[in-house]
Amino acid sequence: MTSENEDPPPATGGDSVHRVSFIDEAIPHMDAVYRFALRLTGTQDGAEDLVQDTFFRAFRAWDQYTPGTRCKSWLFTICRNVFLRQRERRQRHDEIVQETAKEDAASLSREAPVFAASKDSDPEGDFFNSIVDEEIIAAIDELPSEYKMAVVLSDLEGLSYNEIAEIMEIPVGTVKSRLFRGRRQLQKRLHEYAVEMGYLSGTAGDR
Amino acid sequence: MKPFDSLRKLFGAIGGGENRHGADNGMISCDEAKTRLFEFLDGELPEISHAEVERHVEVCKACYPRFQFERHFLDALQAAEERGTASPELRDRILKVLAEEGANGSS
Repeated sequence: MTSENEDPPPATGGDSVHRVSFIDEAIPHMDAVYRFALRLTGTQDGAEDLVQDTFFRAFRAWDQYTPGTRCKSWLFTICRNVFLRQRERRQRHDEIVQETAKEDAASLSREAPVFAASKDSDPEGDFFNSIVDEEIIAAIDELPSEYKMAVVLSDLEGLSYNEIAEIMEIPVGTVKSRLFRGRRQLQKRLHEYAVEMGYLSGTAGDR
Repeated sequence: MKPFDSLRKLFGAIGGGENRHGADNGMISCDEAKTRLFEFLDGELPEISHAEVERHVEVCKACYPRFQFERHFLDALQAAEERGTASPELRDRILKVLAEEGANGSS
């Protein structure tokens, strides 16, 4: 709300209305941003630093946030950017995922090697429900970072392909191929784990 | 068209075999259904396309387990994440700085 007989609020800080609206709209997403940060950084300390930087930056840029759009998505965008900048500072060029040309999202959806391997003993993938949460999170953490980001935003945080495309600054088609490849790798890891733990009797390859 | 063609198609679809007959019985093929599978589960398909996949999966013995498989996988992921929360200390620290920034005004 703007009052017309006064100067508009300054562009940064300095205004308690500004702060209150930030606290009302952005702060409730702190847990989600924290979870995202935790997946990106892999450590609690790293995640806390990243969340802190994200919220400070978001607060300073609050005027650029368009009310009514998804605030969570906006915060994830900032979080990712801060993370990439931090990482750049820390290392040179880390593993940049090689996109096998335009990896075909359709074929990634169509083919399901893990399903094929387990369908005789567990046709509907009930073994996924037996895997403890920590193990699932650990498997997500092992994914290459670009796949991990897509999987976290989609499957843990429930964002749409379009929202993820904006956050990651990539076309929707690339979101799909990264997401589907990430899912496939994750399934492979969880399947191995389920076999190790005896939730599943050996794989097709054992027979 | 021979009298039993449509029946054969129907049984092809529900009898566990791959359905290759496609559009002529009003049903998309297994291949098409699987191609759209993730987008279907993610709620990203346009309405008509979504309905086509849904209809296929309901009756296709070959595809139904695959859909369940992916669904159980995605459910497990979603359930795994529910609890991570920012610590109260982190929250307080951020709110404190925001209060200071707000009070001090812009730089």
